[in-house]
Amino acid sequence: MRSNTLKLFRLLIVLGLLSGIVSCSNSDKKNSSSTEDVVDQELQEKQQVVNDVKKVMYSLPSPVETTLLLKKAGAGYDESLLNPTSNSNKYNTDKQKALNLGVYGADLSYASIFEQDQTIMQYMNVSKKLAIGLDLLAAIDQSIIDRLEANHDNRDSVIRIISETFLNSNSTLKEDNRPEMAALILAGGWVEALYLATQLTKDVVKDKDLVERIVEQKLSFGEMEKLLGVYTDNPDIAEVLTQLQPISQAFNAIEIVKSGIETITDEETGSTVLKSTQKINITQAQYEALKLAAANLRNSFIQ
Amino acid sequence: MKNVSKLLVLVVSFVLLGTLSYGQCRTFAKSECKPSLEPYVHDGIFNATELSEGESAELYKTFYSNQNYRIAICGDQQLPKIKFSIMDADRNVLFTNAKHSFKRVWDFKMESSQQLIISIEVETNDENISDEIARGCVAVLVGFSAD
Repeated sequence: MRSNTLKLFRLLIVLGLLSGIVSCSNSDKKNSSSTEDVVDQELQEKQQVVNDVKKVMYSLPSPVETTLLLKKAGAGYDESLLNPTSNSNKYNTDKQKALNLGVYGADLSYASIFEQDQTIMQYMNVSKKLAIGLDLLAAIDQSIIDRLEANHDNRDSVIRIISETFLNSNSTLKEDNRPEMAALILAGGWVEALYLATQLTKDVVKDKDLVERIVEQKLSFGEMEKLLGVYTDNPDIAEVLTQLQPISQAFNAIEIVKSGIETITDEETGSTVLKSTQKINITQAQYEALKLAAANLRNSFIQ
Repeated sequence: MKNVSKLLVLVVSFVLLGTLSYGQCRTFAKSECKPSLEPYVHDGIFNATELSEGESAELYKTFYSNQNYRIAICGDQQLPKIKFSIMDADRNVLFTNAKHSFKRVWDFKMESSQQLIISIEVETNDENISDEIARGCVAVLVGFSAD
């Protein structure tokens, strides 16, 4: 015991001496930093040290935004397309819970955009159940359910409350050092939104606006692949990446031609319009392939 | 045995400090940054990271046509100015707040859907030379119009 105390004492003395040396060195630096040359050098060193590090993040569209865009493009509401809430009892693994929390989140968003009060409450409650299963107690607490009930007839408030639950979920998971779970939830929501959109659209000519919105998901699909690609060490993520391949192939067959972007700013309002054009080349067969790939993947998620 | 306990306390303290730091980042993003998106609806995605002065980060995101958006950038008070630039997929700069008094929000609309890159960089604190590099939370939040 005495020997251990002695060793600790020696360690503290060594650390104290080392710290003293570092302090002296810093203090010396401060004393000699009066000349402009040294100031410039310090600035350059500072810049050099920190410029080498660049963090990269990928952000997927929220299901609320995607379903809102679909409605604007002419999509209707079909409750039979939603993942039945009774399925929630089948989800036992973290992967199933995370993917289907995303799926139910997209269904909830879809119902909220079309102001389906009863369905909104049902899907918020089933989302809460899966969130609890993932130890996300704070993401959808009783206060959120109460606020949703109190504001059910105000679409704008409902959308904001749902958006808040998404923020709570993915920020809590990142805070808990479980970003891969956050990525799975986002992937589940993205796939469900694609499924709903493709099921509501039949003809590439008659449903041109909707098809355009669906094909544009090719851009965010790339972001989702990169987001998941950060966590390939996780077997659940690696499996989902493999499962996404048929969708990748279907999107790759469809061509989107884009022009450059011209920026026009209204100096009075400060608002900017990014002017550009795009042309989508798609055949009915290519669309059917995408629709099938989306349905197969989504149905494998909700089983 | 006591030494092992002390070591454990030290390790746990470091872990807790890290978690607390990230938790503060979340609280900061929600309380300080999200309100600046009003009247737009936050998209629900938490994009925040800790950066030191001089460090930079990039966010890749697809924005859709005929939709009004607001991007809001927020940084901890101890950080110097934050420069943010919007680039297209070919990295052509479309906007930089460095030409607009380092304002923290930008409103825009796209004529066709595009992937954009939001580049954020914490400036170095040239006016206050010290050996300590300032570090803090930086959040990038995106809002859209629900009309």
